[in-house]
Amino acid sequence: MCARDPLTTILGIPGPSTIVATSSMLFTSLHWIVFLLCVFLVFHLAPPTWRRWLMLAASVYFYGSWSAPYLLLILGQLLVDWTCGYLLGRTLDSGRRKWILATSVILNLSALAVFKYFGFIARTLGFTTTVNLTLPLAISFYTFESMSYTIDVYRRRLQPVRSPAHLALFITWFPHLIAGPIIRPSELFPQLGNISPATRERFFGGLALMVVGYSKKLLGADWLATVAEPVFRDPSLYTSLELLIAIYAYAFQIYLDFSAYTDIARGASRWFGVELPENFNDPYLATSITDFWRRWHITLSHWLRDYLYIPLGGNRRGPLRAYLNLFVTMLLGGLWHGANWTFVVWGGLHGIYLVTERLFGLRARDYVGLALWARRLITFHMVCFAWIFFRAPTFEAAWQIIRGLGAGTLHFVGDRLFPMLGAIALIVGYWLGFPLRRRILAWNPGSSLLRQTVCAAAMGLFVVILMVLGASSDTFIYFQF
Amino acid sequence: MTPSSTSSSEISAGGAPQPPRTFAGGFLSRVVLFFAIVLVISLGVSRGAGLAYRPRPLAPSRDLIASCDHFVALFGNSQFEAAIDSQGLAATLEKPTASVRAQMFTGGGWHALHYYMLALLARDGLRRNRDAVVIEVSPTSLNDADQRPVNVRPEVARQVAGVPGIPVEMQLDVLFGALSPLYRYRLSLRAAVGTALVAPLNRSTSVLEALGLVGVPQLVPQFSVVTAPGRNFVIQDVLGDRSAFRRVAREKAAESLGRMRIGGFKMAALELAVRALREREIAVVLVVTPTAGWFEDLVPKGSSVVIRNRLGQLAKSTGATLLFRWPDALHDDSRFWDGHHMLATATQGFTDELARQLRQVLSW
Repeated sequence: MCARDPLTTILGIPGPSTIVATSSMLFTSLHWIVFLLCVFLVFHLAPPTWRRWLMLAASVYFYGSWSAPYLLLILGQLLVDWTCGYLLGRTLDSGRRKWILATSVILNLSALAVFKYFGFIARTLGFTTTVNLTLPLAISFYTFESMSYTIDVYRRRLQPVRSPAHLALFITWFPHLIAGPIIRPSELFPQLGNISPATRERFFGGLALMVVGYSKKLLGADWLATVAEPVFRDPSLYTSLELLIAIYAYAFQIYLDFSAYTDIARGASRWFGVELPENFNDPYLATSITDFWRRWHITLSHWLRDYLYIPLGGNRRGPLRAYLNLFVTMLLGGLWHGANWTFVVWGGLHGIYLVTERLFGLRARDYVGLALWARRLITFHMVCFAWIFFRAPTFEAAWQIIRGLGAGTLHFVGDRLFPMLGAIALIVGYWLGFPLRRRILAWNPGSSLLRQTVCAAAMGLFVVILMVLGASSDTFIYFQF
Repeated sequence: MTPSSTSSSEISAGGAPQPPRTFAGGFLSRVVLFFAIVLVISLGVSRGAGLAYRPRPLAPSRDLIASCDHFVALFGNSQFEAAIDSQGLAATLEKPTASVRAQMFTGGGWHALHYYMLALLARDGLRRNRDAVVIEVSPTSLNDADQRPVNVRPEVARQVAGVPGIPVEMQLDVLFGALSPLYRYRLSLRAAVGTALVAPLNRSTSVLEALGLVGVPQLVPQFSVVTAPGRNFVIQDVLGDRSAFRRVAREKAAESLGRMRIGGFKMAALELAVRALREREIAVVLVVTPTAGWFEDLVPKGSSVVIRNRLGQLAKSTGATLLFRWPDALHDDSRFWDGHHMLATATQGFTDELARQLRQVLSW
């Protein structure tokens, strides 16, 4: 399944199936493994009062390994929000409070606009620009988290923190820094205020999460990418059947990739006694799009609901306004994912789905038997249709895929047969692996030395499997957002 | 949303009563033991299994060197492989009184870190003042912005990992690869297994074919590249629309060369490679192969100057020779598939010219 593009190989330009060994710390890199184990050991040997500082130092090093200069950007945003929080805590004047909040929101969104959307805005307005800023890693994630702190303090749901270091640890806590889950201050502050070493349960629980995460990423998502990527690059070369399989492959690739990141992040964080929230709950078993958004990127859905949909008026101003609010929220949610109109259309499609479901009362979840599976199937295909716009580099490519699907060519082309069948096998394997995954997540060897030794030996073999069978990609999909 | 009950005092104090924890010193030692077992098992299995794989030699054997009066080892990337006929080169360099053999060592490696490894592997076998190493130096091989995995042989892994400026991830990759052959050769092993699987899988497709599920493409790719048998990095033919191939090649090259960064660990690796050989008094010739004019123009001006200056200084300080001046005819666009990979018909002309210049600089 690891099809190499000979041109790419010959020209010496990294392609999808090559490994790009960069200085950055991917969760699949050796650098990360060594870093995590070192921080873990030092953390548990360090005196309790040093632990938070150690976590902060590790987080700074982690982000610095990606881009040291952009640490200054995080620091700037952090100081803005800490100052705004501090000022909000000292004033009761509602007018002044609004100004302080507005300052925080404007400055945060300005950073996002400059670094993420400048080129997009210029292109949309028809300007040509030679300015090509590098997108700071994780800016979308940490900006939302940083803003939620000020907003919560403004709403008096949170007391401002005294020390900027605490806010810094909340925002930069390394397991979740790059691609979430998007945490609320109210979820993390209490835990950061009471840091304690991991228990045995937490250690093995975290390890199990990481095992599941690495399996999803290296044995699932990255192999599916080798099938989906060439198809989305040039859809005109593929038959309807191959296009359909590539769309399924991408649907599972993005799910496995992103949920793998979350699993690894949650597992790693658990080793330090910090629980991160769930971000996925088997989204492709959703029976409606409303249900899908309760299962997919849950922390973003909640963020958008609480900090965008409800402030826009939610459903308090009548059904029409509620539909509009829902649609606008999804549209902006789409734009959050990337500075491209294809993402806006993706968000818009989900907005239309959600509004339609509300309009016709299709959100009910009490299906059983065949009806349940029919609803799941329909929902899955609606989601897949939207993924076309999410993944396609341009509208032209997206239309090409849609037209190709309608062409009715139901065969595989010679040498593409096995990669395509391989993708199907992986997807089926993922479903069949459900019970195993549950067992791994629930497993705990307890205090028995023998059981722990057996567990370690199994881990050793698992590492060998990853070494040999693990596909290689240079990043996680959600790192770009 | 539930209002938070967190207060700043709670956060800063950090002194809330803690529940009893089972993760005390005793369990930490268990964790260390746990990871030690993981490491021993994974490395043990991967070492045992990986040793069964026999990689191709990346350095001339002593017997091969002893079989001639002068040996020329050629280190380069796909450009070099396409540009030189090593047997032809040896024949041209040969004299009635002295036999010469030449062999290309590429192994798919294409950047200076790979050349450093080749130099380390070859230096003890090559004979001082009798043998020579010809190293291809191209902007691509020195571009610090593009990084690829390197299959470094264990016997020189520590030295390669010690190149100044090498990224931490690559350093760890090299060192871990030295401990675990299964990891180091994973791509080659997978390719071998894949190739072995293709034939039986193909036989099993008859059912799908009978059902009409396997067909011919409705739209064929604009072009496809055919590589020479046994030489995965040498273009033998381009089928289909060659102008489309050239356009795509140009776009890819522009993309790669456009973000060129010179002066990092790759330049350091090249310098170490040359010094490692020169310390043994082995003749070293650095060759900038000719490319089409438009391809040269894709290299940012600043980078070209830096490369030329650094290579000039390196040659001067080590006693190596730098060859970069070629007759204009060798830069003709019609001699290349894509501006930098030579056609088979162009190889002889370049090989002859290289041999002519080598004769002037080698003291044999």
